Amino acid sequence: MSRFKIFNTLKDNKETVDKISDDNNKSLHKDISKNISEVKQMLGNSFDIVTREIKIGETNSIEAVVIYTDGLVDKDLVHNYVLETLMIDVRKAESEKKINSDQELYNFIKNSTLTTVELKEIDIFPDLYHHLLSGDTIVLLNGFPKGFAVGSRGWEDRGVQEPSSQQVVRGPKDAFTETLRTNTALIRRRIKDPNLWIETQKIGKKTQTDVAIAYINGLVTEDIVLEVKQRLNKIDIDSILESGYIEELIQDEAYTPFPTMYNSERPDSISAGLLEGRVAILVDGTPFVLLVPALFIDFFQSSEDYYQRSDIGSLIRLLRFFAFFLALLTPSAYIALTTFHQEMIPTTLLTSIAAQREGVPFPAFIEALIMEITFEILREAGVRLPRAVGSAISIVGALVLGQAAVEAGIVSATMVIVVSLTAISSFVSPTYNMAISVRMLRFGFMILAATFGLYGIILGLILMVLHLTGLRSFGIPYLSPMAPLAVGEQKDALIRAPLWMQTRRPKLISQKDKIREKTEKPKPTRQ
Amino acid sequence: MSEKVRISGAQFAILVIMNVLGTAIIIVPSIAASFGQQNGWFSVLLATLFGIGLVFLYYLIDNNHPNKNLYEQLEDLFGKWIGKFLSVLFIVFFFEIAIGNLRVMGDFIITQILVNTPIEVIMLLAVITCLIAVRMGIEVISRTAEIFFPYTVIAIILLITLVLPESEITHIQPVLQNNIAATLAGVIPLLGYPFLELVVMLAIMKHVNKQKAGRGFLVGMTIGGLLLTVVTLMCLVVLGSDITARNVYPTYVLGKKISVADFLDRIEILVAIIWFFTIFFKITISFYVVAIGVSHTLNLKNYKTTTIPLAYVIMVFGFFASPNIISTRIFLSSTWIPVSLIFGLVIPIVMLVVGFVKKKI
Amino acid sequence: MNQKVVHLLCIVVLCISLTGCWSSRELSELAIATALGIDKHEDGYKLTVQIMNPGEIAGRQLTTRAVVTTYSTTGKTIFEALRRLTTITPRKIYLAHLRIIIFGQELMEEEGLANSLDFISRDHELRTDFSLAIAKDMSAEDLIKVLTPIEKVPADKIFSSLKTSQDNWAPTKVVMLDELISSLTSPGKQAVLTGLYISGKPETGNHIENVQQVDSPAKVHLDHIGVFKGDKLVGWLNESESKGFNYITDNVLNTVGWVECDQTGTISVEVFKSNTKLTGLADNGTPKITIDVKSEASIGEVACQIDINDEKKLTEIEQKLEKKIEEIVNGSIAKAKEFNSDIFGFGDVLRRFEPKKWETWKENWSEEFQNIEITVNADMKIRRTGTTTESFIGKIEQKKEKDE
Repeated sequence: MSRFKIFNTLKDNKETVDKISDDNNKSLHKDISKNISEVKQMLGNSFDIVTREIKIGETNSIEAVVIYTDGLVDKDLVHNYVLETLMIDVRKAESEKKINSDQELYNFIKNSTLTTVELKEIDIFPDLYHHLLSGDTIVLLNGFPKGFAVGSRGWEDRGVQEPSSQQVVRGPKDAFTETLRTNTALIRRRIKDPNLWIETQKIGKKTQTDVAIAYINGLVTEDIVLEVKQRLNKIDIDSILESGYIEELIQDEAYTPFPTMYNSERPDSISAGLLEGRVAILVDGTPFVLLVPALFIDFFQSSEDYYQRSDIGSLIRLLRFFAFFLALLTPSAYIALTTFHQEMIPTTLLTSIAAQREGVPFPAFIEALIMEITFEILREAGVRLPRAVGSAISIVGALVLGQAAVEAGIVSATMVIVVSLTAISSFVSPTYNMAISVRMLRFGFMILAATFGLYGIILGLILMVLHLTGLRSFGIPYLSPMAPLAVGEQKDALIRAPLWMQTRRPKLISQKDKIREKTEKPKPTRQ
Repeated sequence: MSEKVRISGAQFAILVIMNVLGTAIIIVPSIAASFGQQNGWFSVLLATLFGIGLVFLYYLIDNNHPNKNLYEQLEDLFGKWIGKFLSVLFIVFFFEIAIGNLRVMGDFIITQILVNTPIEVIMLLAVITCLIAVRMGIEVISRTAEIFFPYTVIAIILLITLVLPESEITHIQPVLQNNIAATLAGVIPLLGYPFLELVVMLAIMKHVNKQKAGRGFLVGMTIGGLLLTVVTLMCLVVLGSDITARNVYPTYVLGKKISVADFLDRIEILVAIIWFFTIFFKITISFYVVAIGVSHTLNLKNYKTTTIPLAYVIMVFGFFASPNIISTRIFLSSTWIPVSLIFGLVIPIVMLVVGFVKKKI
Repeated sequence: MNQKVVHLLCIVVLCISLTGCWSSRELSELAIATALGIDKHEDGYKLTVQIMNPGEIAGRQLTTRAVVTTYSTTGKTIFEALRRLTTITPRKIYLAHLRIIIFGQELMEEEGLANSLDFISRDHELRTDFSLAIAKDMSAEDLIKVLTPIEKVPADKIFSSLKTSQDNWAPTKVVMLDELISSLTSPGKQAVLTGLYISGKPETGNHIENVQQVDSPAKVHLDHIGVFKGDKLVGWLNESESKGFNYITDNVLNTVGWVECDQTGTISVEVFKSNTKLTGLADNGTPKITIDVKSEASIGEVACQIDINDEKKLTEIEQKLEKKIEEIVNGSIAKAKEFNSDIFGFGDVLRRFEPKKWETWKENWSEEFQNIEITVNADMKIRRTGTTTESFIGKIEQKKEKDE
């Protein structure tokens, strides 16, 4: 096996291609018009499929056809390196008597005419369709039951932009795009190690989506790669439109509110994960790249932690955990304290809360529920509306609703404070999917608090932790390195130790090539 | 039983600590003070020393059959039928620990926290939580314990330091002058509760690495016993022996004494919550051990089969275990002592002796 | 796996269906009690409870309604009376935020403390952070009804003045429940409680005009420490004796004392640090107690001609102060002996120092208490002289003399 594995979109993957049609090995016909009509029929005369029938050779002796999907191909490339060469170069060559037979013509076209890097012979229809619809240009010659797929992919691309979901103050500002090739390039640009291997396969019977697995050979545990591949192979679905599909189909535990796979649109986050020995799953058509195994603490880490000073990075991480618990428990703690354990509230505070609650018509639980649901509605509205309107609506809505509700005596001012605190805390999480879990669980805790007070909350917490400790992400305990405790791993868990201290890679994820660096504690070389 | 699970030494130590502290931390000061009065802390200390001695006994037993749990060892040592019979007795003993602690927990919550809630509901919720934990297996239980352990210890240390300004050393003076006999007598109920109950750990010890098991047990027992001693000492020093003995839950009263700068006060419910963590693990471990015992005795393949029926039984027995809170206290300081002595001390010694004799032969 | 989901579902369904039952109480269903008064009544007890009106304290629109309201009822037992209160209160009374419990003097003298205390210590809602006091020469009910200025809630006023006067003046003592119970049950100690009374016109105390005037017509005073024997009130210590009591029990945080200097006037000092050590000894079968009071003070007021820059003079003042403390302490002890009540816990001291002998004295401690030999050693150090050194009074006097 070669140490170099060049990523090649044209690389045939029989397994997946085989899935596409029932007559999966139907060969091309010798007669070109038959081929053309079959293609046209199959594709329902779709108007974006362009067929250009040409005659090549000095005497226009050979009929040929160029088929491509408009919009998916680089038209310049088709003009310059396919049509032009076919029509002009072949004629020249023939006039110089280099070509004597049809077979020679075929080889000449294959070897000397089509001056593109990617060229592939095809001889069955499924291959033809696949390449055609992936943006390759198909060249068929009359009299040959085979043809060429010329790599001419080139479509309108969003271009590399700033990440919209995970922003940083300091750190690279590029983000993955919808194009798989761009995304792999973004990773390669960061890791110029030959051991970075990227394997690809196609998933989705109808969408034929390219899904790539990237990992650094030698760092990654083979079992995990194998497990990822096996789980991917088990997927039998018609379409993959986003990496969320993959995530849902291959996660360890189906019934859990917690994400067991990390996703990011930041190439630096994904590269850091690869360098720790994780496996990235890139899906064509989405900027969100999956990273496995993912631990609970990963969702509280931002790549910026590593770019800023370690002390502030550590503090901010602790703050995120604190905010996580605030977002999870503030409303339920409020309910429990005001309806069950009033003795815990200092007298003066109790007096002012009680004064506000005089005249509020709802029990604290209902009050909290109304406010939380209102807030969730506002947030959802803010996300879906056009960006300019969205933020305005959500701010104005919250302010107006909150203020008016308090003044009308429907909710107490304390409740508004509680809900706002919860909301702000839930925005602290650097990953969106953990924030969603918290939003969901919060309501469960509120119900528990309204029924059993702090006892309910504690039971809920125990259940939650039980569930979390029981979870695994690709074989790695979800709560590690906290449970099971790994003392050495604490350097990059709740806190972020200085880089020169983190000499080893996380050993839970990968046992190979443990030493990450040998930098000593920085100090002036000359005293 | 077929599960291939490993518990680390640290996790085992944590489970031991949780088992020592569970329920005991809130009741032991009262029992100790009612015997030795101002010397009650000394009773706890003596009992801890004894508990450390017990660790060696249990360690030797486990060392004879490192890869067998208590029930398997019993069958090995005494033959199939006597072994099974003894297993059943042990199961009943562990069952009693589970329902006793469940009941104590229920009573406490009804008395102090959720006064008008039916105790059935409180207990039901706890049992369901334990059931879920037990079904997830000992590995998950011990990892969960690992998560909650720091909070438990931090809370106990906070409790101790925050009430320190309220303490008056005169409350425990004269040190070890009066009531020596009563102080020594006070060791006996403390042995039964909680130290001899730790025989329960023998049933899960096989999952621990052989070298680490003994050390974990020792460390856990020492830390647990010392924490218990310190908490008892603080109760005595802050509240005085009279109030400590008079209160059903002196540690909770101790929590009420926390008042830092007139701001950080009224936080005794947090004490209760932390204590709830410990008792949760105690009930869960007992429940788990009962479950594996039953399935072992009945030769079932998977212990999970028995968990749901057992949960029902624990629930019902917990509810009918004692007619009132007084009888629980009487039970702990009378009937429980000989029972726990037999199961925690006598049978283990016999096991050890038989084990040695068999080895010699 | 499905099993787990089913379990969780069960819990959720259970929770939802049970929401709003049992122990939950909305804040708007609670009447937060701040003070409780217990008096003797022919039916048993008369209970008066002071309830806070939160809307008037922290609401957005304050009206002129009173911030607290009181309800009284009687009952055979305190528990019964408390529950009977629900027939006249709009909400359930919530005792966890109680600041003070006041006992009527009559109840304390005739019936004693014990029966009332059991409920207080047993009820789960009552905490232990409230203080207890006696309404001196009046019923607790009258005392609780007085409205107070500045502190809107009268119970807060009493609670905080108890604390500030104990911390700055030392003639009162904040007694909390635990301490009271342990002194009641301890064989070597008797209980004390601070007394409260109303000065001025008690009848206007419960009118709103009491807080509308600059000089309130009815004021709550705290003074005097009530001495118990067993659980019955037997008498009162006056201000100086109360101070002596606090000196002996090491309860002086900060206080002011004065002595005469020469013949011309007085000099007052602020005692900012005071430490008392009690040691017990059995001397030929008689109990002996040594009281060492170590205080540090600074000069607070010089109202006489004296050169405080003179060290000798300073020592003189120190000695005078020491003597004065000894007098105060002895006076306090004499009064306690008069009541034959060991409020200082001398018995406890002896138990600690002479545990063997204590066993023999324990049985008839009230007699032994009379025979107790007490030595008082006061030690006073003046550390600072305030912001000025020599007083200008001397200069003024000299000027007067010159003018003459």
